[in-house]
Amino acid sequence: MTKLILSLFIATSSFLSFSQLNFQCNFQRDPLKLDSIYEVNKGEFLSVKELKFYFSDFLFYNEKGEVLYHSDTLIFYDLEEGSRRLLLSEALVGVNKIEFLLGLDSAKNVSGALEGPYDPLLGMYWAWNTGYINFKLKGTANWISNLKNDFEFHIGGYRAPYGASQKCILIAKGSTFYLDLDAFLQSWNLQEINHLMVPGEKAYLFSQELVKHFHF
Amino acid sequence: MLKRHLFFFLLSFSLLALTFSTLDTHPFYQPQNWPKPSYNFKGNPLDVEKFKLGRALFYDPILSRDSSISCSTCHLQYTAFTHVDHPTSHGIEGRIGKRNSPSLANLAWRNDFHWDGGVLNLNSQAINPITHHDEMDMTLDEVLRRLDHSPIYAPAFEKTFGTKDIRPFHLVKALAQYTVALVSANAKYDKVMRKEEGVQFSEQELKGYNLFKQNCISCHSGPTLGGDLFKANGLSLDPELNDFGRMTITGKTKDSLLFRVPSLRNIEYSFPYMHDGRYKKLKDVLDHYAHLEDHQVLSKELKRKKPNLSSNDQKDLIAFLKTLSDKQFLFDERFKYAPLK
Repeated sequence: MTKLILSLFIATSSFLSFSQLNFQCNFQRDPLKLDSIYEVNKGEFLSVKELKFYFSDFLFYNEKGEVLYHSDTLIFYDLEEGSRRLLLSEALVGVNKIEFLLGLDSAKNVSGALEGPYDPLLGMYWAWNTGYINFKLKGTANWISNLKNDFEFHIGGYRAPYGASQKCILIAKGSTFYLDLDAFLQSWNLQEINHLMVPGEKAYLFSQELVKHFHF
Repeated sequence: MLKRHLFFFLLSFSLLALTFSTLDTHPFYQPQNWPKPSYNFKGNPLDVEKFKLGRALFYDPILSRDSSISCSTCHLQYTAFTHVDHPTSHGIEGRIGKRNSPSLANLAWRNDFHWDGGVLNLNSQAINPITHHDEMDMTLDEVLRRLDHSPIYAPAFEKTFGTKDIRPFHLVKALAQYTVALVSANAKYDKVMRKEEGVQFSEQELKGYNLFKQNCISCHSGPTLGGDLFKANGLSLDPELNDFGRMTITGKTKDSLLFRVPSLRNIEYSFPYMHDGRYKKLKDVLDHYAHLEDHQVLSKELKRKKPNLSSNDQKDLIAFLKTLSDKQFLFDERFKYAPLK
């Protein structure tokens, strides 16, 4: 499988002086490592086995709220392949705010493209219900009292009222933005809801909570 | 006498020539007075070589995990591209699915697929049966590995798509080149509608057609005679299958027990009927509609007007339904299995 590399080319902000935008998923303030065992509370251990998701529709704003740059590109993130770098194609001055969609909008969901980031081999395509999983997370946590002490989330769906693609707006503070997965998992009751595989209200609530944990 | 022989010789020659000429032309066509197709041909332009590749794949069990079933196992041409006499089809290892395999025809005019409308593209539709546990139970990785190693398919994909790196979108586009070509618009019904010379309904068929217009056409509408609507038709939930239809896709309780209104084309050949194949004969289907009651889950059309069909009406209606059989389509040589050369 050809690795998906984000190829948006950017330059610098007069305030921030970054020539590229990076993304990193953290756990307990450090880069999340696949299969590592983390002690999240005394005697409570958690491990992430798979983390994949989509970003799309990046917008870069200046202080006046004007759009400096818009990228409609669909970006696929896979923890197994590490952090993602977003390079923008033109020199931007004064980026103040960045907006993106965590997931895919309805048009992308039904485009039927099946190529590049849409390739079903990436494991994000929903064959039974045309569309894509926005966010896929799989792991184990010893306090979950199901048979395998595991959790698995396939978060997606674009139909109202439970469209699970979430807009995220961040004040730009540097060249790297993060997702604190540990903070999200602390806020989500894994013991109660540890498997979500279909669109609906719970998937929607999951996506709403998740998007709060992105930051610069 | 000589003239007569000459006529038949020329006719046979013309038919033979037509048969050979069609091999060089993609079989898809736009029937007269039909609306514009929904299929995005720009994304997968018609190409007869890709059609031939798709046809070979459609008939090849290489797509199933144990190489035991192909697409054609559940979609046989002679029986309206469905699995005749099977209420619900079986996949590999005799696994039984939940739904009756749908008849395939005029897919270019469809906006969504499956009994619940969960699939929105003809191209991507093929991924479902290939990867479904109860059907072919394959992984796409394994399909591609097999195609890559095939002395037939690897060069065929290179020839048609110009690539040695076969991806899922190549596979599904090839299959769609075949399925989009399945146009059925040459039944007696079509010929009568086109006012072709010497073709007319019999008295019984005409009575049936009038009954059809009074009782069925609001849902089985348009030139495809159904296909794009989802309706409740009074069928009770099968507690074993536990299939709520459209609600599975939309998550809305109002869509509980709604299923696709199927196209009636070639219905004579596509038995058994309904989403779970519970009715063996057309008569059983019409009996069902003739005995609907208020307590059943019904579409607004059926609530407003329950079909009042006497035994004779049912016979007339069946006579009409048989005019929807398109034998030219069902026996079209171009859709039959043909190995890649």
